[in-house]
Amino acid sequence: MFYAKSIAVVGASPDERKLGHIILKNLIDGGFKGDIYPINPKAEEILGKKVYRNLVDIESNVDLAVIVVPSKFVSSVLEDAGKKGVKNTVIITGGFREIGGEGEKLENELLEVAKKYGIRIIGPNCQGINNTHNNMCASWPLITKKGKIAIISQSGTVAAAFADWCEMEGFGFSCFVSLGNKADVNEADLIEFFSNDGNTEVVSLYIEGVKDGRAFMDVAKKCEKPIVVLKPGTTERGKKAVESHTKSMAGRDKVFEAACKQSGIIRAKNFEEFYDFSKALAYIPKIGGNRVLIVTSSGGAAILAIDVLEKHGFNVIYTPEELKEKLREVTPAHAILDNPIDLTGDANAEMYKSVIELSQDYVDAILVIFGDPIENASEVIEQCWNEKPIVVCYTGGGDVEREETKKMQSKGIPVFPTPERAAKAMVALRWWYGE
Amino acid sequence: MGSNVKNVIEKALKENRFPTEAECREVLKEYGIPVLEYGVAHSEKEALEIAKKFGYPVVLKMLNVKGLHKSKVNGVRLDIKSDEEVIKHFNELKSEWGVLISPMVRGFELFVGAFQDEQFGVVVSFGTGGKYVEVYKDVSFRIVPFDRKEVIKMIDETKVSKILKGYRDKKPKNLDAIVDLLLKLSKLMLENPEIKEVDLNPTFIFDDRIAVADARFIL
Repeated sequence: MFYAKSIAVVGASPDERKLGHIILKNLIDGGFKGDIYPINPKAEEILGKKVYRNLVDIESNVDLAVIVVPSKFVSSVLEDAGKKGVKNTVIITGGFREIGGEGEKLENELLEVAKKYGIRIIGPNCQGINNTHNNMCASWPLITKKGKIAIISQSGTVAAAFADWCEMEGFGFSCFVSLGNKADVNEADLIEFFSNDGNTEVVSLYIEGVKDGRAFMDVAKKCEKPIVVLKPGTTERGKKAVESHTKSMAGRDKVFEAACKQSGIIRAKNFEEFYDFSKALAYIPKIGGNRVLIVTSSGGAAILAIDVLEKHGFNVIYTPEELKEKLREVTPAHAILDNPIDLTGDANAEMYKSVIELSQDYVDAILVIFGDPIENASEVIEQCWNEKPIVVCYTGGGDVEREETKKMQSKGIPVFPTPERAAKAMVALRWWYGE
Repeated sequence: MGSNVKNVIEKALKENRFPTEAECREVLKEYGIPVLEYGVAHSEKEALEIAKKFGYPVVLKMLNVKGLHKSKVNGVRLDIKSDEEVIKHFNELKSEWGVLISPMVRGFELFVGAFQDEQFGVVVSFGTGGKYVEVYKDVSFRIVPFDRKEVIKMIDETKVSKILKGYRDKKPKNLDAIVDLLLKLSKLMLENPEIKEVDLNPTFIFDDRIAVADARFIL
């Protein structure tokens, strides 16, 4: 599916506004290295590619069919796929189970055909898949930046927004999968796949519900990579007349929470955490304990971070006398050397570097807050970046901040825009690497 | 497990009702879950005999098969101290199922529960007990199966665990007894999927032991 060498776009269209055109174009523009076969009963050539009438007419092997035809034709396309020996399909088309009634019937038909031929389906009613490491953007928008995070999402928009952030911040992603109706392939199948995918370090999952709770827990437990989940709390069904306290208090959300805890899943509370945690876990080195030192140019920003850190079991240590003495040599007289190490507003990048280098052996992690327009922050952090985790917050730095942040992130160094977000990302690292 | 358990469940299902508290207690005992001493009286005479056996004060409880929360319908009479009171309350509470009588004891109130979740299977819960459970909502949950380590984490998540480990004038309690109870309850739920929901509230923890003081099953 994700490492297909040849792809057919069934329902490819010459009309630039149609998804059947956009997907074909994204595959071509994304630099897909294998063969691409547009399929359309009327057109001769689209985007310079020879068009086929149907899947069966293609002479060579087809590994993956991306299907964008109207819902009533999808099952006959699947029949063709079966006859042609195509084992993997992504069905973009909507109008199935999500609309109930007739749509549900159509979806069941698909499943029967798929079962007959042993075809796997992603979707229907989805936004496609994109494996940057296979230059395969069978989706939209076109994103090509290769990264380490696999994004699996029941909402096309959440996935696209997440992917967009990854691209914008320079991290990219490994794979993007829009689950759609999950008629066949579901979150458990994909967790299993990505736990074995060499290009993926973190699995980020947005789901509204799980198809099979036990299977989900089993694959999550086995997965050795961090799994970050965002799942909105579902509205509770109306209370029954007769109900136990235990059930009425539990609700779906508490049960899901327990499932996450028991399977080592990191649960994000909101979209922001979902993205921040994924980024931190994919790019920041392992954290070995709870002792943290903060280097900042802003006392206020540091206090905001400390609130979060202490609440979540971090030990914002008192600077040891021995370290203080060393620090006195490299910091201005007015700097405050109690943790947080406050270099104050006239701090420069070199001071940060000296403090980080001298402090690394005394703690398990360093939180670096640039709270002013400090130039060359990126160079210094890059030089200090080793197996001891550094979590960077850059805030209140105007144009300099934007430039330095961009430089760091393009080199795979996560930067967080607020002290709380940086601190919370640190908390997520701790959850994963053990408290 | 004992055929007694299956009998209780099958009988209730056949009669289209929930088990009475007395029946629930029978099932719990079969699984080695400690329940507070009790007797079931069908007449004034039996009620007096049971009360005498335990000694005053005692508690009288309505037995019902509709899954009612007893305290909501004034079905629990606490601190009954004399024969006259026993007779009065017995007559107010009596039904074809009889009236349950227990010694009046004071213990620290815990909440223990379990239910079958459609997605994840058996879920067990633990926390602060008593009639205000839904106000405090100090309850944690785990999905079965789990080991002792996981149960300890589950207990540690609750606020009440801080009191159980010794707080001010409260002596530390035997947490192993709670772990055992939760493990036994999960076994009960796994082996009897007909039992959809269980409330054991309150479950009393004393300095030396634990005992379920109220039980409700929903089939």
